[in-house]
Amino acid sequence: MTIRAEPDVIRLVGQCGAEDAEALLQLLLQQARPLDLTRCEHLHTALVQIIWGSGASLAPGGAPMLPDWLCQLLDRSEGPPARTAI
Amino acid sequence: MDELLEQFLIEGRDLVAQAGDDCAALVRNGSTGPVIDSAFRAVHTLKGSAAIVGLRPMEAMLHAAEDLLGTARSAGAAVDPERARALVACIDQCDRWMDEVAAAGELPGDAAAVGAEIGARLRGARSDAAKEPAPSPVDSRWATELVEEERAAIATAGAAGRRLTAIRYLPREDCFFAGDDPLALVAAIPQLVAVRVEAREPWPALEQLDPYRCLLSIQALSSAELGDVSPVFRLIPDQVELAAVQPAAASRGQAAPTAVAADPTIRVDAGQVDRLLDLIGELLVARNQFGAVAGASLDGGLDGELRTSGAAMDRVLRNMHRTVMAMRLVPVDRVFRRVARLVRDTASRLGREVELEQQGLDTTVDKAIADALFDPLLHLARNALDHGIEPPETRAAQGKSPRGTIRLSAGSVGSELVVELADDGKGIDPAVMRRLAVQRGLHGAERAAELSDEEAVQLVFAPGFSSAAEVTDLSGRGVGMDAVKAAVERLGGRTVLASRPGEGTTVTIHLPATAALTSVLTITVAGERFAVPVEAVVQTARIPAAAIRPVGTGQAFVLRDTTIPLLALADLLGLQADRCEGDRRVLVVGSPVGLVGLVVDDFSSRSEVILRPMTGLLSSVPLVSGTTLMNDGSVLFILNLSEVIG
Repeated sequence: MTIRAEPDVIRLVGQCGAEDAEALLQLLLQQARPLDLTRCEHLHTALVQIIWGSGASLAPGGAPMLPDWLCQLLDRSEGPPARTAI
Repeated sequence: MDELLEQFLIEGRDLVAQAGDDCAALVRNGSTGPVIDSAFRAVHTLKGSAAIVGLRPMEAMLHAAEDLLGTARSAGAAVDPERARALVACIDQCDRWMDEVAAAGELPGDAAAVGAEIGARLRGARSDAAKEPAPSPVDSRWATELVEEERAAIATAGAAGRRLTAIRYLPREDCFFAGDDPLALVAAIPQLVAVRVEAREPWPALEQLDPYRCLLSIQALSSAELGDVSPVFRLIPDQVELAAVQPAAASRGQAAPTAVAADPTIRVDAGQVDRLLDLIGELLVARNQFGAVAGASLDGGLDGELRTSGAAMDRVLRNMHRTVMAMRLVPVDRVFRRVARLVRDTASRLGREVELEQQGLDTTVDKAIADALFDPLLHLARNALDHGIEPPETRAAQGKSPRGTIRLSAGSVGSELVVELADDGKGIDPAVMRRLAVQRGLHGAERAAELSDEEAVQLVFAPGFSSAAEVTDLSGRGVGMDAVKAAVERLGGRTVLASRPGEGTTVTIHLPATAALTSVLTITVAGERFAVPVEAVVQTARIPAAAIRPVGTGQAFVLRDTTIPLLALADLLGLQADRCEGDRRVLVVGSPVGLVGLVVDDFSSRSEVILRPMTGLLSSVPLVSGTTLMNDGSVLFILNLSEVIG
């Protein structure tokens, strides 16, 4: 299971593909929680879009296994994407 | 060979073909509008591809062609005939260079000079002939703006002043379903300098968000060469624009981008399709074995069910076979185009003026046939130019147009593919053929005199008919018309020639539409099994020994009022057979001299098989046109009956 719902955090682990999109969307709709990406190795674009739409913040530790520019794209408080340079 | 170059050689051929068609149309009727648009796009893309793989002389030459077409396009004007011909020469040259690159991995040493010469012809008398080619008129503003706006990121990356590649990527909304992961592709871009991700529309609330719709628009900059970036987007060229941005130009707000072509199809190695076909053949064999085993061990209750599922399996197998065969179909114009180019080359070498007409270019044909058709057609075209079309002055003296015409056409007639090459040259003189036949010892004078005109011209197909006396540097390459005939027969087809002195010659090639599935009759000869194509057999017959009469040194029998010579197939194949008494089983087959009866031990029912042509060393084995795998796993040789009888 690449997505694990915990009481105060949603943990994304390993290779998270488009097939996880529906599950992640439902979890975030149920209850907004910070996302733990510390063990996420790959994050599909579909999941990135949902994270932006939810405005969820990243749990401490960031996303060390994702490219820097993608972390910057994710680590925003205002939600929907505008533009980002690396 | 480097993968990018290989890709270029595949895709480039299509672009050359497209541009060649369009330019030929420009020469013919001075078209404007859509034809120029289409030519411009093809030339533009070809130029970009040539640049990516570093074929500079080709890129420069195409640049001149692109300029010419671009000017005509924006002026809505036709291209003047002289320069339209230069365009054709330019495209032909690209084709030739691609042959050289395919063979040698690089352009020949004189490429720069040749390209410059054609480039000069393309620029023609244009007063504004640019000393320095202007950047192509493609919308590149976005690339320039991106570089301007990302100046800070470029400096941070230490890429200031370097050549950059700008990427504009608009993923399709449904791209997730196609398995695309746009941000992963961006992550794969080498030497990424900057990324910008924007929403295409106001971001929806989470409740309204469709998790499977991509809403992004992405721009990026890389300090890698365009050629190193483009492979990342190889599978989705329709969603991406790439532009190489020169730093100096960038600061002046000008960029010279190179767009990457879109291609809605996927390319599959022909070998894989062949492998799939082989597997279907094996599945067919397995299915037949299964049927036999099931039939043998039936108890009443299962019978119906087994038969139903067997029928379902057969239906799927037939469908699979049809689908794979359709995958192997290619338009015949691939072959025609290469012939057309060689006709133009050859005509100019021989000082002949020739108009080449092509018809039925969209006729599709099995790839194996298309490939095998090239040599015979090339030989026929050379013959037409060398022996058919007269020099312009001779033609004029005879009241013909000084420009000869060669017509190359293809069409499907029933289950046959008919390819025809016709010229309006001097034709074949039956009197000359009779004389040559006697000189070359093919016939005695008496027999030669008896030949009808039609029969006499067919002598060109006789083995060894062409001799050193008429060998020229062109068609005399040790292969005569007999080689053409043999090549066509190897494909299961036949060749028909018609000629009128003074009016021209038409050679028609009839081929089975697909080479791969053939109806064969299994026969036994001298205890060995062979197969013969059903279409070669007129009928099978059982002839009582009493009905066989000696005729001269041989034997014959009468079938429906016709006396038919009888030959033992075993003797023709050089096999030892026991003389049998009683009824003979006979295959009646057609031959150039009329019907012939062939005695065999036995024949069994016909079946549909996948014929594999003989390849490699085996391709020169006489009398056999291919092999096939039978239900029991054995390999059968398919006899070429016309060679066997001949």
